Amino acid sequence: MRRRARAVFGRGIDELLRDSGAPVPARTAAPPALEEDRLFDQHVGAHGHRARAAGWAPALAPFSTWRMTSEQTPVLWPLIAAQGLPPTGAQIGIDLLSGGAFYCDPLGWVKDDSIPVTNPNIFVFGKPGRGKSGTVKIFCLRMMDFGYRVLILGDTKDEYEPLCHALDVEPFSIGHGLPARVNPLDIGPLGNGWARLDAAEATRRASLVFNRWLLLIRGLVGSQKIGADSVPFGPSDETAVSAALRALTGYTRGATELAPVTVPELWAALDDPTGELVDECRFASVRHFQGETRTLRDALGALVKGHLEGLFDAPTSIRPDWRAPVQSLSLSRLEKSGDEAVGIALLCLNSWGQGMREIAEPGDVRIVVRDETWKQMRLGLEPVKTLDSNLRLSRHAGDVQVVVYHKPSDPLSAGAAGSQAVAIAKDLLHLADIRVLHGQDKAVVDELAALLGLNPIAQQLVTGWAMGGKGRALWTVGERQFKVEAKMTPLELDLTYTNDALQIV
Amino acid sequence: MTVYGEYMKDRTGWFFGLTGIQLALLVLSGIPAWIAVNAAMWGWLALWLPAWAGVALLVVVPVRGWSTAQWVGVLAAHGLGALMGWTTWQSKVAAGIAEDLDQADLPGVLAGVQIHDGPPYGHLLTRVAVIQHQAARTWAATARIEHPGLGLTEADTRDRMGAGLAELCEAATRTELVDLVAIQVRTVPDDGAEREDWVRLHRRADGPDLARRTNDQLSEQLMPASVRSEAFVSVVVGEDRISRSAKRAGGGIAGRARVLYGALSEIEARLLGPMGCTAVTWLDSASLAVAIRTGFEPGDRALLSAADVAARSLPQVATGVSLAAAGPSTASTELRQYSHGDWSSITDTVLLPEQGAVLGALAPVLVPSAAGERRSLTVFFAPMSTRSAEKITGREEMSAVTGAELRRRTGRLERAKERRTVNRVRSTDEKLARGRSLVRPYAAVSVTIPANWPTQEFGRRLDAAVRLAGYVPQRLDGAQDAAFAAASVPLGVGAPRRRGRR
Repeated sequence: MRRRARAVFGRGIDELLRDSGAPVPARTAAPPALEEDRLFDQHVGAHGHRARAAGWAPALAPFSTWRMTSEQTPVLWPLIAAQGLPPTGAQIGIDLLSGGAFYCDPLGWVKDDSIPVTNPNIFVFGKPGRGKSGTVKIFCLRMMDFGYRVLILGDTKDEYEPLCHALDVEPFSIGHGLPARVNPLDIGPLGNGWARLDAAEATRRASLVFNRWLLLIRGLVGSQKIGADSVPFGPSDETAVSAALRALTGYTRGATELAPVTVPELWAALDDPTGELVDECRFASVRHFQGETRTLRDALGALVKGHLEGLFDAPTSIRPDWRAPVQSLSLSRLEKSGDEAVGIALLCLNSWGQGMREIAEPGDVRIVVRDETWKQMRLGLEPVKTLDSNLRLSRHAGDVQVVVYHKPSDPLSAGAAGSQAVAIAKDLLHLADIRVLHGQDKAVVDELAALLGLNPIAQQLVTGWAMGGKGRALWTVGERQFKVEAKMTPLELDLTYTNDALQIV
Repeated sequence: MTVYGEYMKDRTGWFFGLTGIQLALLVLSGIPAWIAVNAAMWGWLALWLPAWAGVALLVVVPVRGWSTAQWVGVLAAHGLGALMGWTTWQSKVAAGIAEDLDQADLPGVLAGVQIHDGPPYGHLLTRVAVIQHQAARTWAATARIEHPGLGLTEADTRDRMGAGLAELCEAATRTELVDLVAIQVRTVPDDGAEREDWVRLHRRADGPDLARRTNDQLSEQLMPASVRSEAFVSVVVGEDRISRSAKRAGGGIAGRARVLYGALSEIEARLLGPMGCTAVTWLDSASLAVAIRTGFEPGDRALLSAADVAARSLPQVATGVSLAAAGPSTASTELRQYSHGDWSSITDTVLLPEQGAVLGALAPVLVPSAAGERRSLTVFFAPMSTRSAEKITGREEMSAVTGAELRRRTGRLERAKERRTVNRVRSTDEKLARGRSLVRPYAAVSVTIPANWPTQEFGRRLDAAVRLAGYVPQRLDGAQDAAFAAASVPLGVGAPRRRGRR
């Protein structure tokens, strides 16, 4: 019967659409009615459940409630303690503002976007005897556990000697009458396997080597004085030095290996120039060349026969073990020769150290300590520029550069007020996002404010609290500030006892 | 530095600060006196009047937050609770009878807490844990916040942060939803779990032995002495305020969550902006369970962190804690302390100083007095609706002006205190007209120590720290369990909520 009816009435709408390939969407089930009134259907009193072992609260807390307008609410401001930095790197001591342990991890901070640090350089400031070297030493030692190696470029007071000895490393002593020689014009690892390098790589490496040398020569010449002014180092001088260095190494001739060069050889090449050198520098004659480069030659000559004599004027005779945890170059024997001699020596060592680090193996991270840098800064504009360049390269090389100063205005001794040297020196301060400020006399309060932008509370901390104990310092990491008391273990106390023992934990 | 000092006690009573019960007791106990007057029995009246005064004293004068009469009630409740075994607690997980591991199982005033996964929130699509409180009829969400702290910030920066908090309270009022904003800070002993993990991953086998020994010695000596702090913010919204909007947003829990999220983003903007927070992360139920668990059992943090670390290399390692096991395994409420698991706590509320205080004055409260001690502070900000604020201020202004006029007419001299009250009421009115809001804040501070330590001694140290900060501590004896829940568990559960009292 049904079949017949179907035949009479044909297909229904549903069937028709289905047959044509466009089925009517099936009716979805209506969403279940919202049971609003069942959301609070559990019969729990404000005191909880009144049953055995149900933790019933016998009374509700009679809090002391207050009434005030919104702008008065900070009377109950709860967010007081700072949340510390991540627990990575060397543990230094306690951050007294938060009560938490304080860790220093410059390269880790650079990699962590949440910490506003863009370079791993550390500037340490502090009045003598406030624990600067102690802090640097404990930082270095603790980082060695995590694969860091340490290079002390110029230990002027043999402060790092006990640390080196504890690690079974003998520091190299540089001084008049000692056998150790460091050639600041050392090619370093960049010269390794020169014959096998392709042209592009050889050009790249040559440019790195010659630029470093040029910077050093600039620094050395600029450290000499004519009256109160530094010896100028102009474009013609630069061309002459550059051409002479290229000729001496054999690079101009396309030699298969770069020949070692020393400062006296460079001086000799400039003093008695070859025809090619004169032509390359576009001078009319040898006499013309000599006339135009007299100041340059005399400045270099004074160095060769003066402060540098017997120290930095021969091929490098030391062979540091770069796999050792620490390497130190001691300059304590130069102390008697005066600050200028030490400054020039530091300049040479820094250049040599940079050369040695130009090709670092992956994972070979190093902490480069530059102690008493203020002596180098006093030599004038060019030495300041050299340090500036070293620090700028630190991120690229993966090194942590630790620069030790006495006070913020040390860099300003590079020249007269308003001079270019001072401007660069000031900029240098901004090259370090990490600054460690040990105790300072009240007299430097203005410097703390003007050069480092410290607010009055921080200034008070540096001139007051930090003066109250060795190892106390205000650490500024990017914009954040930490009131840190460094702690030493008995082991470290023995190592740093010489004149910088901090306090016992 | 700005001193914040314009506030007054928020009287909870409606008749000269008396509650209905107190008033009824006073009136009832006064009846014999009226009868004596009516019958001219002056001897009886003379006898009854001191008795009436005694009753008034018992009923009205508070001792540690409660009147004597209330104390009698509290003691009776404690006695009854202990006798019947109601005040002790054993979690269902510990008893082996837990049915649903995703449902919170918490003691006392937190018993009404249920935790739901809300719809995705924010660009990270976090399923924010929506905290429903059955007894208080509220909905809440909790975020972990990071703040650089006050440190060495200057006066103007602090003022800016303070203005940020004021703005947050005003924003909470303007949403016409938020009942309560609770900010909780805990200073916990550093268990060194993260440090240990980092050292394990970064230590070189070929490093010098001297360096290794130094680092080991250092972490052994320094770690127990150092602390770390964590902070949470909870936003609580009442069902009576949310239900209508929630229906329009789809109804049910999801609808309520959607409306709640609106309030959360308002609060989040203020936290990140003027208040200076660097991160605000709304917690999902797994993270909330951990926050609750470490609230009750501070020592578990090391275990949970170690499990997280281990899970990075071994996926089968179970991390976190289920909601059902987030509370303590056992707990017991005593009159003067609260014991939960292996820990004991003592909690105070804070009375504000007469002379006012500067921003950050509470700092000493959060500094533990011994290694291993945990301090927590929760400040509850309950914003009042504009209408209630205006009503209250209007009433106070009227009463102040009437009082002043009465004094003038009767030729009485206006004293400095009275003059100040009138000025304060007028200034409040001015501020409200300028867009400020009226807020009822209160605070709870708590110290948590291992159960075998002398708890009362640490309670005394907490009191001393509050006094050192310039505030006055008031021990919340009799309600230590409820007070602990407010001070240390970030669920936004504080003082009992009075419905319709906004």
